[in-house]
Amino acid sequence: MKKYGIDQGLPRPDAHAKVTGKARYVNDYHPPKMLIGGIVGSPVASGRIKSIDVSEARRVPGIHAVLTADDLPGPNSMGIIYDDQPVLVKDRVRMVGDRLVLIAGETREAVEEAKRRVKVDIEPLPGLYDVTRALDPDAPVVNGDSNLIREFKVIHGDVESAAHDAEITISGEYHIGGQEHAYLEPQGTLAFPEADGSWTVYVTAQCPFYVRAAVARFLKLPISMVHVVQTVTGGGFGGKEDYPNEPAVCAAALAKVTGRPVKLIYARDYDMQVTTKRHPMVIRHTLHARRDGKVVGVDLEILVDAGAYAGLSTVVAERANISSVGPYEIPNIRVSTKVLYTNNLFGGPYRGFGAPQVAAAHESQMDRLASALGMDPFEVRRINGVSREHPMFASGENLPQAHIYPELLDRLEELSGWKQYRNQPASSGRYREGIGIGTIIYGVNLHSGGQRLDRSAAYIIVQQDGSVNVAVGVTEMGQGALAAMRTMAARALGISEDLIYVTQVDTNQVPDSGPTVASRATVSGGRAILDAVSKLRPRFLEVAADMLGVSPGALDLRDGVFSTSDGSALVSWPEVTAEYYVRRLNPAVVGWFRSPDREYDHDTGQGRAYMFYAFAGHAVRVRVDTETGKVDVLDVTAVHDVGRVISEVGIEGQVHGGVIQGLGWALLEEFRMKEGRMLNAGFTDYLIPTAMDAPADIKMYFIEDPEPQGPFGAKGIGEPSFISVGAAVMNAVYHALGTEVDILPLTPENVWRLMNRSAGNNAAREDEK
Amino acid sequence: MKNVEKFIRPTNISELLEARAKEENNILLAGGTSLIFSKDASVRTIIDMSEVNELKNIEFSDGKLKLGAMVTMTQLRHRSDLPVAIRNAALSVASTPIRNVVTVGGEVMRGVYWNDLPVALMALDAVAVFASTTGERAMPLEEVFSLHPTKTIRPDEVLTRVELTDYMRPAAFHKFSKTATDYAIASIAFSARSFEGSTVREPKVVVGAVTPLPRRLNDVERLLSEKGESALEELETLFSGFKTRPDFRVSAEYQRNLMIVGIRRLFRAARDGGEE
Ligand SMILES: Cc1cc2nc3c(=O)[nH]c(=O)nc-3n(C[C@H](O)[C@H](O)[C@H](O)COP(=O)(O)OP(=O)(O)OC[C@H]3O[C@@H](n4cnc5c(N)ncnc54)[C@H](O)[C@@H]3O)c2cc1C
Repeated sequence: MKKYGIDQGLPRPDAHAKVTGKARYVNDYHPPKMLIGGIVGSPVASGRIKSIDVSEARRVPGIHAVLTADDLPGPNSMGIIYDDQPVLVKDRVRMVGDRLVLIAGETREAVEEAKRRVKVDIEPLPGLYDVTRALDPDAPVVNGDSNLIREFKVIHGDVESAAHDAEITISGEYHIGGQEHAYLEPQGTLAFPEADGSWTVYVTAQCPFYVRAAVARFLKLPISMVHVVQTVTGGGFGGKEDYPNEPAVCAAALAKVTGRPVKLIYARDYDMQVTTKRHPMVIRHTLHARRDGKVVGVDLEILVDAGAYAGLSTVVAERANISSVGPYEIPNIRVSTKVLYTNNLFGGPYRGFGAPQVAAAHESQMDRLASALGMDPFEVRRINGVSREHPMFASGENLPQAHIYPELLDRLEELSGWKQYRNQPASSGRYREGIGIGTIIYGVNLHSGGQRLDRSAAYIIVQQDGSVNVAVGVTEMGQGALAAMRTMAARALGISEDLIYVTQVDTNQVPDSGPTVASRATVSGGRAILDAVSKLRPRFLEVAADMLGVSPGALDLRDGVFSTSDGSALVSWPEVTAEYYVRRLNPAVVGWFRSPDREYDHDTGQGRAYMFYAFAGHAVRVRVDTETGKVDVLDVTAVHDVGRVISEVGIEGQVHGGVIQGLGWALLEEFRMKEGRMLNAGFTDYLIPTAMDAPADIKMYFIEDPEPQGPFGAKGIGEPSFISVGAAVMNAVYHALGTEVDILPLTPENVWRLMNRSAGNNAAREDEK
Repeated sequence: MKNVEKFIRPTNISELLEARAKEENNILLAGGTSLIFSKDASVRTIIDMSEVNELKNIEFSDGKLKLGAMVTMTQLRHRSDLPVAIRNAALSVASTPIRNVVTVGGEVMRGVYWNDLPVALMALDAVAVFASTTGERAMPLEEVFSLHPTKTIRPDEVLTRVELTDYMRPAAFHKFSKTATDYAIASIAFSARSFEGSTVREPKVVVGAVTPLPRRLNDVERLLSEKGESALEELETLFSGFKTRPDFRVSAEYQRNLMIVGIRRLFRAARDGGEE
């Protein structure tokens, strides 16, 4: 029996096609006369181009276009916020894989042959691979005139005086690794010119409206002439937020030059090397507290490794910046978040948007404080956490939902078996067990800085047979958005879910609805649906009332039947929709959502950062092999403040996925880098957890305290399901070993080094490179 | 293999050996899991061994255990009458779908550092049997791996089986890796003739992945023979100068640590008769 949800228990509408292999991904489309696209990328991370010779490549049979920067049919500019990235590099190479040449040909073989025949001569330049050196006077400047792209701050109270008055100070420098999205479907686009001068672009993407804007800008076309269709998308996790603009513009360039459809699909190794990643961060965190456990100040410096181009790094950093304090009311705060260029991998959005990295630091610091004071980690969190009495977030806002955090702590403590495991950790022989927690606050929806995009549409058409088409502007990328939209539309209308068909995003069907990111799909798509239904429903009630000879106010529509409260008059939904059409009434409506305006001071990080907030907490139990450093996860407990569950299987899927992806990040996923090159680009060496590596048990609990601004009270779950997992793993290992943990991922060798470091064993230093 | 012209599928050993002897520039196809990556343009003929049923047997005869070259890892895994070290090594190979096709012959002849099965086989003194139209010859695996196995086999030969005597002696195998399907960072096998108290007779220690091919560690074996269990606490010095195969995934000291930890564990596992 299901415990949660307002859905009718149907299978997801996209499930059958995906499971049976019938779903059509972008690579499954083969329009007539289609050409295959390819990219020649730079083999080095930093250098000056001396020459690019494409004459041999152009001679390969079956090749239709070989483009260098000089041959581009549009502006050579790609940056989404800063104009710092070209479509094709002309002089200075800044990252491995930087695009040099675009090729289109009849077959993949011809394109590969042409790629091999491109001759590039690049003079290597010193590169910057260590983000902590980015602002050194002698560091190579990677892009523009400084490696500092932007700095964000939180200034609240007076941290200097807090430091002065503090009875205990805890400092740590955390080196938190990045992460590859590892979506199963790589990046890909199919772009083609239509006979009437308009363009169609098929793309695997989270944000089709971004792709449309980028292609229209490149082709110098009105937005209305570019039609972007989101094909079935095999995973995104943030990696298909802004990045798909790049292959889309490349394919459009080749299609423009050749006049033919061009499909560009990334190979896995190239995809891993060049596409955006979770940012590696270095976080210097100093916490000032009193002996009674009260934190009086935090002082943070966060270095965000953006790679060679800004992309959306500043947007990610803005969230990291304000999230870095955690779910605590702390009177004195100083945060400086610096977004820095390097020649490393390209940083970008990834589930949690910078919040997981900073959570790793703030939660480790809380546990160190607890340990220094001989307190239980829950106790320090109860002392410092936001609550009804202490509702203030780092932004200075008083949170209406602050009372949920103490409840979350209680649930997490209870469900995880904390008291038993914390006080009697089982250890036998070489194994040590530990349990740790991580808790977070997450601003659902876009940050104030991005609020101009915070809007969403739903277009609903009721058909004469009672079936309903719903088009929304938020995307399905595997997370279950189509199912959630279907449930909310059915529930709001009062009809059966199987009458509702929700389409994937097609930019010609709905107005620009912003990006599908920031755990906002359910909230913003749902609110747009509710708005549409609120306009449609009265129209049908009126017709039904007329048919029954009662007043519309006396009728309700539920389970597909219009009836009066005493049940004396009944008419079915399809009878009414049929009559509605006979009366030639308007059966369609566009629903709209816009988030409330927010005031926020970017110099101090004070103001209203987000529309509303959600809390989450994870407890992780581990067993560490003290001889090899291998960490096994015994079980995980997740407690989420979700407002209202829409679908139980849907939310469980998100929690399972978030936990396992979080464990992958925390324990396995590591960039092995050499001068900007990812040595482990591919699934053989970039390891993500398999089913066999997943913990036997993931326990979960959902706090349902309806959010007034969410549809049916719902908040978002996509990112909170991930964010505190890494922090909890760090604290669990800290508990198991008694060794301070300041690094992620905790691969076996990294754990082994931590143990040796604390044992003062100097042998455990890298002795060869 | 873009110049392949012929694909043949013999149904018995003599047809197989015949084809092997006479087809120009042929290559043997076993499970195919590594063959598919071959870029060898000189290959003209592929000889598929999937229908040679004589190569798929697991036999106990003449006091020996004989593993046919086309026996798969899945078969080994499910045979409870086989030595635990061999079953564990078979289970260590990749994932279920890959184990369903990877063969004993492919594991031995591929000669790549992550091959798990040969590590266990070598610790049990396995002998490779090569056949050709002119007859059979037997060669201890240790000798097969003194060079790359493709250099120890003659072009007209086929590895038909691997033979083990005294196969039920105490032995254990362990693979160190990060996930269930990851390839080895280190794989280690141990066997001994017998244990008496804290002493051990004829210990054999073989490592893989930390070396380019499976390698016996004679120094370690000698120390164990001399000092028995107490030698396990002296391994650090033996390994301090050990030159490992550079591995971009881990450092050399971590590789050495895994060898030391592995030998200690496997010695005790073999002695106590349990799985590691
Ligand atoms: C993703 C993946 C992960 C893997 N992980 C592991 C792992 O963790 N551990 C592990 O041990 N292995 C692993 N393998 C398997 C390993 O890499 C080889 O692919 C495998 O050992 C080859 O066996 P096969 O039967 O498929 O041989 P094939 O690919 O058919 O042949 C391999 C070579 O051996 C030759 N050959 C085969 N049989 C004979 C014979 N009877 N006589 C003479 N020559 C012969 C072939 O001609 C060829 O040159 C993995 C493979 C893959 C694809």
